[in-house]
Amino acid sequence: MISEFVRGESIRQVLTTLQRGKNSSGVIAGGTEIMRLGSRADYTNLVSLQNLGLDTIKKVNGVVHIGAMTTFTTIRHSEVVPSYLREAAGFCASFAKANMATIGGNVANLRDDSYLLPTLIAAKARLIIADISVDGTYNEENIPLREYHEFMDHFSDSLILAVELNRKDRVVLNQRFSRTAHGNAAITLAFGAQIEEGTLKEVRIAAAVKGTGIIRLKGVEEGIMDGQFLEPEDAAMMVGSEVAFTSDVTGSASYKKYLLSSSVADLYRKGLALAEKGGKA
Amino acid sequence: MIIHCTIDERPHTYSVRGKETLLQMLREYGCISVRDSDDAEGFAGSDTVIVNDVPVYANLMLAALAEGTEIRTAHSLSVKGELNAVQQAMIDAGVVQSAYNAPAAALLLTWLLEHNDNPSREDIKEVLSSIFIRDAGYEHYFLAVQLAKEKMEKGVYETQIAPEFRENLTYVGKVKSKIDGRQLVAGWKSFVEDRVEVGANILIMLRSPHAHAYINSIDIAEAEQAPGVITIITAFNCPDVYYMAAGQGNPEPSPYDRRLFNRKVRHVGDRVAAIVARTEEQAKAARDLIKVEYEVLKPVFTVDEAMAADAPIVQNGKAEYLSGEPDNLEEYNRGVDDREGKVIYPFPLHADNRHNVAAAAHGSIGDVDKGFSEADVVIERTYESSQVQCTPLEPHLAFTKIDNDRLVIHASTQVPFHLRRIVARVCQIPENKIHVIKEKVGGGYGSKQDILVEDVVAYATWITKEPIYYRNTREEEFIANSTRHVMKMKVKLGAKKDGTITSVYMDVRANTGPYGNHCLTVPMNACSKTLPLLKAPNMKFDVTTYYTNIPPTGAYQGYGAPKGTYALMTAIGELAAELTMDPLDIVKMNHVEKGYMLEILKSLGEGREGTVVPVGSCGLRKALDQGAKMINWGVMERSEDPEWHIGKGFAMIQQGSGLPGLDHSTCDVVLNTDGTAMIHSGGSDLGTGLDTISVKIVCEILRLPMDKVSILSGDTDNTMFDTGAYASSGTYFSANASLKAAQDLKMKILAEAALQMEEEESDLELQDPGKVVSTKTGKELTYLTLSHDATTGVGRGQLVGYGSFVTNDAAIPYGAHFAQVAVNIRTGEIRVQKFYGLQDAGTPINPELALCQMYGAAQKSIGHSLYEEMVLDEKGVCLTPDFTRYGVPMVSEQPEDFKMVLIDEDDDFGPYGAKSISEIATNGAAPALANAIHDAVGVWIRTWPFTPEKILRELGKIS
Repeated sequence: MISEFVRGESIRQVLTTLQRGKNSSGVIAGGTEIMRLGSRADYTNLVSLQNLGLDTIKKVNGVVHIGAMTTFTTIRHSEVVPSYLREAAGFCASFAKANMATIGGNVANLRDDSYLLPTLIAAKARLIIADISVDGTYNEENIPLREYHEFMDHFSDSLILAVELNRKDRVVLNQRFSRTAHGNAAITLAFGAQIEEGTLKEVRIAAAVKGTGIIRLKGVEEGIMDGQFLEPEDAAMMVGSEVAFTSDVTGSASYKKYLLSSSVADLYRKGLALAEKGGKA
Repeated sequence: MIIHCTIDERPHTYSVRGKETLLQMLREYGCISVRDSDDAEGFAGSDTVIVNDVPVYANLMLAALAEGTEIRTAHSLSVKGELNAVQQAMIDAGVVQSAYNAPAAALLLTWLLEHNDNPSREDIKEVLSSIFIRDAGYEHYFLAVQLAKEKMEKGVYETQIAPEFRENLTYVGKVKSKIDGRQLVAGWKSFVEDRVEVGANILIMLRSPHAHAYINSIDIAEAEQAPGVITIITAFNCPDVYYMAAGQGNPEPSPYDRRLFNRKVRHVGDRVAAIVARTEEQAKAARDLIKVEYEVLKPVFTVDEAMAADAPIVQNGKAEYLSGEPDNLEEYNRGVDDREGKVIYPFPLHADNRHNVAAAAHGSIGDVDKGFSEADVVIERTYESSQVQCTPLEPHLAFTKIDNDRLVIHASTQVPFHLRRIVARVCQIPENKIHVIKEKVGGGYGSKQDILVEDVVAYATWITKEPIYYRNTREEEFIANSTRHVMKMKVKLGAKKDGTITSVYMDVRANTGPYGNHCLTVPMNACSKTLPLLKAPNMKFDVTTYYTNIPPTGAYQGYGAPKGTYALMTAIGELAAELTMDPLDIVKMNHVEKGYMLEILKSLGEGREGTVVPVGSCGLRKALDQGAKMINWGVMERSEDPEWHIGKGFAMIQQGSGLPGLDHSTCDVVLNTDGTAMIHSGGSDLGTGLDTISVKIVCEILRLPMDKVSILSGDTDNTMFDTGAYASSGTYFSANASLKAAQDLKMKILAEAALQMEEEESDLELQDPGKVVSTKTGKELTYLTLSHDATTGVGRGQLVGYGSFVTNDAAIPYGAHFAQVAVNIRTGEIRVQKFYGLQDAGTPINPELALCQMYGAAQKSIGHSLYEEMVLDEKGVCLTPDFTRYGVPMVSEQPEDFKMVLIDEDDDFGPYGAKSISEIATNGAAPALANAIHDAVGVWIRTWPFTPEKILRELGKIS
């Protein structure tokens, strides 16, 4: 039950509130997760990020900087945002919800059917994080997205200020599988790579697997980059050994395993085709 | 925290409490058009508002975040009752039906046109993506935007809204604004929740966590002492009265197998206690103090489990019969545990509750065994439907109070008169002590044919004399509402090499869940709305319904027909594959046509012998031919992407128009003192336009303009009896009663006019606008003068027309649905590329509303076929208790090319030739899609829903 609501006046004030409240304090971005039916969020103190200027998108020297409070709708209609992220923002099928849900909220919530995380991981996105150290100093860090999730506890008092996409030629391919557009996805998958001299480099494959979580298929990535998987089907074989699947209302474990394997192969195949064309769709 | 904002341009200051939502703030402010369909799921969009020029869900926004914002609601769209172009276009396009979130949709589309004066179909689709439309489908929303654009740009509509019928008629068959459209789209007070009085107490329910258990004790002592508590009702203090929740004709073809509260709970979510308190918070706090001791029993969930020799018995109570008691009843009831309660049969249903059999029926014509022996090919297949939910946007709710020492029930119901009868039984009071007021129904689809909440709320008010409001949560809608009966259907078909069907056998095993609502009639309907499509000489059916511990089932649009049609028409597809014939050729060879005597109907009455009638008006062949042409039947389509395979399928369909021999409607039409007319119809308009139909019919007969005729319907104090809106009865029964009442009033007007004008009745006729004219002398008498003179103290009194309609004649609607799908052989995904519905509705009295109901019903049944599914865990807990997990289709799931077509047929018995329209439209999708999937990828999917996973399994991609 919320007993205190604070309208954030500055980033520093938000961070101070978070530190003071520890686990009982949380930030509210778009509200679609905290306010929704069945939300697990249970904060007594909520601090709002509205009106802190975190809702802008800019591109400087080829780096796309997306404020944490930027909504899915804004991302979807931005000419600055790469098409793969615009496509992923479109996975949120509800217009009103997309007007409320934010990229920062989606990154922080780490849902197992996340709309954006697989794509952002595959894009090698980075986060701008702010915190206040024990001596009261305000800090901002630019960290890889994967680091944020690997060490989430470490960042519990931090605030995501922005998402950055700094790999301007990165190719990212997405797929999402749900029974209806508004339904929970069984699998959301993204395949990212740099294309250099007709080959795929720096491959990142990430998936949101319902019931399992956000996963990176490192073995498949390495196999592709090592040249171990010459055929897409070879890469697909590897998927099953990297992920533990569970059955739920979105589908059985065997269905999810098949779908992820098959789709990894499909996206790899499409990546190879793009590589052949020099990265042009 | 104090916030300042503007609401519809008016400054507002508000003290926000805790996690209060913007919706709560707006409701408190008086914005009743901002409604709630999903308890903050962020799905259905009834709570859509615009904040700082951005559409959002008010339920997902903290009220505290509204500081400094400009909030706009649907209230802002109309000024002093004058609708804006979008609102009017929505009415004219026919999409304002049950209309619970119509104001929200109007707000969204108005916002769209303010930002984009020429939106593309994709632009409109994007905006509609946050609104769940269950009744009218989405297709005519695109039309509404087009109409609004035209009106704003050119002052007139240029696009045709719908085809019109019957040139000789003025109102019937013509596109006219739905008479309650303005009230609904503007968001004025309409629904039960709008009638709740300040200070009303709140009732909430304590529900069972177990699927099957005895309640050994309930300790409510502490809860009763909690602040604000008024009463708590349990199995230990409720009336010992057995009844059934289905609002069916009396005597009902369903067992009385429940009390308000029972000593045994039979599904997760079953009622354990009702808590009435001053506030919801107090009721919830008291609920937490109730201590229940359960004795948990093993549950059964499927027909197969219920049939097992050692199956736990769901309804093992004492059997009693109100008529037709069997000889061995004493023996049958020996040793019954009192905690099981009773099962009382109004008449024998061929039940055996000791073996979980709730009801059974059997029948045949000809000799099926001989028919199979004469066949060249015999196939036998089994199909299963799943448990699907009606999901009305307005949940089940009721507001009850005492007025004039009588019980008043504001209800969202399809059956006000059955509701009164059942509540009278529960409260053990006569019907004259009860006044049921049917408010606007924000979506029913059959589930509001059942008395699911009014019984307990009304009883609570009767014993406390307190005003009480109850409203299901969305989760309760899933676990404690009525759903489609799950069915397992075996179909056996025999045919000659040339495709002539020689014999048909259907074995229907239905799962009625914990109680026997509609347990005989829904499964029978799987046969009675399918077998009469065929002129096979040998047909037989066996229907058996079983009790289990799944959430309750009941009536659902289409009743048993969608499942039976799925089974029979898919089996015909499989038969065609065996014969290597075109299934369309087989259907054309075997379907009935006008004049064919439907002998099979003799065995298919609802608990009594049915009436054999000939096929009347029948547009079936026209529907098949036109549909085949539209979809290029016989032409194979190919995708450029080798992963996607394309296929086509179809199904012929039928329904009924009410229940001849069982239904009864009455109506009166009063000539007011100024010459206008007032209709009092017992019928229940669910938003489908039944009231508009009655008004049109009366206008047509009395030659009055539509604004001179008003209607009051579904009010047990102020209208006469009507069995209610179910079984597609509204147009045929209730409107026929209106027609008879108008004809009666016409005769009385002519008789009175003859006296006043001193002319012969035979020389008089009624002419527009509301006058009597002598064809002999040219003299005229307006209704105003006529009525005035009849009621001035020296006249013969007010003129009232009375109509009572019963019949044994059937007005059967026919049709055909065609589908084209693309199936991805790698992922199993299915895209519905084309869906065409062609239906013979006789004379469509409201053509634009009829089309929208067809779109809505077809989209709903596409949802049932492909996406929707209630999933239970091993303990009977529903894993899909919200829209997102359950999987209703939204605009994203609408077929890429979606067309509904009205086939013109004039019926002999319907009012002005009309037949029913919307229930039949739920029957075609499942078999059409199943056949199309087979055509695309060569696999048969024999269970609902047809998921990608099932496709992949059938294709051998996963095991």
